[in-house]
Amino acid sequence: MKTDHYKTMLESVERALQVCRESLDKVDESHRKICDDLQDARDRLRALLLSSASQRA
Amino acid sequence: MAMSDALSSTGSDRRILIIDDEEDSFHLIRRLLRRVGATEAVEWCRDGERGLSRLDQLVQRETLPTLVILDLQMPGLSGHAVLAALKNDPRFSRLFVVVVSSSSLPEDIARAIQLGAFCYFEKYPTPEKFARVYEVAKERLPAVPTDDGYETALREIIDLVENALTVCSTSATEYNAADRELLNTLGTIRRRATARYLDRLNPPDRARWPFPSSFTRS
Repeated sequence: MKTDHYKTMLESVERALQVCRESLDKVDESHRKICDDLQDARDRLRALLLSSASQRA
Repeated sequence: MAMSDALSSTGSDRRILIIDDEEDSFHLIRRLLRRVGATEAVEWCRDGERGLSRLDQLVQRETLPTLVILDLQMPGLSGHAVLAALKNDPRFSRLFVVVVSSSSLPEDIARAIQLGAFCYFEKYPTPEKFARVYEVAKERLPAVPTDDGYETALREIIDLVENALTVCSTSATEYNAADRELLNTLGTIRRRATARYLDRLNPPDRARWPFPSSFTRS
């Protein structure tokens, strides 16, 4: 169950990160911080997903 | 079709739009604008539908009015409905709308402000009071939205992060420390992106305007 949740969350966060990066040329430090945090969230989610999937296996 | 009346020949494309079903109101407000030194062309739309349609034409030509003066009680689309339509359309995020209405009901005033009206006058404001608002509107030029797609991008980021947070909250009983850190990070992103989005929609000059003390009644 949790693995599925992480997967769904990861999809949203990856898409948000992509949108964020596409706007990087137009904006400033504050926007870069949002991108950095999204990247951080994505990395955390990837780790959580891997760990959850391996536990399930 | 809007009725156009150039107050003076400035050679520019600047205008003020009055949306009011009463012709007398249009003439009175136009006179008021003259008194406060407005040099823009003044256009009149006699109902909400025509007003929105005219604004749509103007935004496509990137010539949004300096100021929109909006009545509330009109046949067809009310002033509140016009405000709601403008609020939901990012192209009008920098539009400066002042409500001039015969209603003095607090709920009408509150709703108009909630829907994005810059201020509210009961018919009719004195030239002194109106002059202050006109000066703010002029300083705020250009009213054309600067959206280069960034607001849309921010909106999408916020929605996606919201989605992730909603999914996360459905497994609330199974949180561990790593989940909580993730939640914090997502919450921070949502806060930052929302603050940025609101900054773009509500430029600082608007935020500085002293509401609610400027609920000016004549």
